[in-house]
Amino acid sequence: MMLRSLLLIATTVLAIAPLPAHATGCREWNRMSESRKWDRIDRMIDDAVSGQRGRSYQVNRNAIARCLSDNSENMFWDFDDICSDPNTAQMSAIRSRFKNYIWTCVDR
Amino acid sequence: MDKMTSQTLRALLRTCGGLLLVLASACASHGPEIRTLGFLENYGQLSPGHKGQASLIYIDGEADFSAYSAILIDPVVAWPTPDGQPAIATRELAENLDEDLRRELAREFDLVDRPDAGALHLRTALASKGGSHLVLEVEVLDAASGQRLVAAVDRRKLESTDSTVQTDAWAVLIRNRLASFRQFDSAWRAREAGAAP
Repeated sequence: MMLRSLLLIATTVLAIAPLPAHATGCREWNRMSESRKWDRIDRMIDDAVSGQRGRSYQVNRNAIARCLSDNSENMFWDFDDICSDPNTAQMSAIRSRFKNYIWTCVDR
Repeated sequence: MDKMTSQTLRALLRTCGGLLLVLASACASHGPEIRTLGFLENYGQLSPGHKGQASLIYIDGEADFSAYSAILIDPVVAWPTPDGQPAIATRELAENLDEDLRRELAREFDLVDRPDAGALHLRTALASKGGSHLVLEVEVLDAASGQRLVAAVDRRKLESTDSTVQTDAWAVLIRNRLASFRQFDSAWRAREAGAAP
């Protein structure tokens, strides 16, 4: 009885536990609601253009941000696609695909 | 149109597009082949890029570029023509690109001459195709382990009679892309560590 209660509590906690702050593997992506997916894409775009990590980094951040935002709908479907295919749904798939978009958008 | 409706429409269009693609590929014997030089290994790892991107591209999603602060640059290879010798103009271009890459990447990384830990390793080859196009094959490795992090094949039409303009643009582009990856990975790591900037 005690064990069953503990299991029930553990299952409930796991079910309602929020996703880690920035976990974006396919497993997490597939569990997200649509609005959370959009939030996550927005946050990734922020990460790509905010801050000052680079030494010279003289890219036009506004242009890159605009280009990434223009592609956000493509990203949404891209991420859904790769995460629904067991052959491509690796942990790093989203990060890798997002870098593809960065690679493209820096060339503007 | 709200986002939901737009997404539903997109899903329908994508399904129809997919069917058309299947039909088209069934009708066509082969799609246009992207010609490579043979400088890189394992071209099978590369896939066609998005519009405006390199012709073929591979990016290791696990790689953390924020961990690299130095770079080892191999001399740019002037890729030989089928008769075995690179054209003199290609050799000059390769020399220009080599100079441009060292100048630009030195603004972002420490240039090193050994495969140290924490260093990237850049390999590049350049070929001229018919005098009007340039093909660039680039590979970025982890210098210490030799693991491939990025590989790309890019083909550009020479848009200026001064081809050094193209090599300079390529060098800036490579620097900016690597700098962007460092920026993104740095922010990603910070978030994963729960210390969002």
